[in-house]
Amino acid sequence: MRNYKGNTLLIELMVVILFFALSQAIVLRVFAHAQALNQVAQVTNIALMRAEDTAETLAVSTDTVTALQSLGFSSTGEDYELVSPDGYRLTASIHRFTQPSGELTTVELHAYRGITELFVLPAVRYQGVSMP
Amino acid sequence: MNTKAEYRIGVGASTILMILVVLALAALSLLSFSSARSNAALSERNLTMTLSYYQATAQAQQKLAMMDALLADHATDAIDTNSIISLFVEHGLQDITLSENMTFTFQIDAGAGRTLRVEGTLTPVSYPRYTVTRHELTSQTLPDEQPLNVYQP
Repeated sequence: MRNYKGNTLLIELMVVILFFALSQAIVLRVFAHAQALNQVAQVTNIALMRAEDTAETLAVSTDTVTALQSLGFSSTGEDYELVSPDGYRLTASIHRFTQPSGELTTVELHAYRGITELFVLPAVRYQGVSMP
Repeated sequence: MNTKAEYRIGVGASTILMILVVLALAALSLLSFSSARSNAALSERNLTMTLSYYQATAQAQQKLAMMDALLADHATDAIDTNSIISLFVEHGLQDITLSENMTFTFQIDAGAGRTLRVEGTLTPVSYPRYTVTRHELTSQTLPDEQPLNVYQP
């Protein structure tokens, strides 16, 4: 009788450990997914704040390149890039449309997390010719 | 008489313990996931609203550039309010309203029930040809799907 009880307990413990391991696998996946979601949201928020800051600075600056460099962007050929330790990367591509009355400068700020593009924020400024 | 108490794990105790632990962890993980999803949704909404504002600002700057180019092209003409309005209509800028005192206004949809309103003064014969006096984001109505949940005791 005593031996029978011992075997039952052993089998029960094995079943318990098995189910516990299975349920923990699922729970850990949920936790990992939640953490990944939180990280993406956090990086997106920080990158957006930085992009907004850049856009507002560009809106009031007369020299786009100097403004970008003062904000920490470095030249990568035609574009400018800022790599943040917070886990995102901002690239700025400048397009200029010059007309006799003034110049329309469009700076497209692309935010990346790894190779995934988070958003594109346009910063456009028109500067009319002040003298004839 | 010396009785020795014997403590043993009964059959079923480990099962009950496992069920409790698994339920607790499952509840915690679901709460964590729910919180993360809410954060992600809030972040996405913030991103959408910010981007739509900057897109509206970009459209406003493009409109100002078009308007300035038109005024520069016709700087030598005798320009009055009606001729400027017809000039705007002719070149697809009919959404710019111009009053008698040369005050121009236009509005651009900035998403989520918001409108970017740009107002300024035209001075076609001098430099600069226009001056922006107001550049504001107004929220007329709240979107139906996003009501404000204001706590009222």
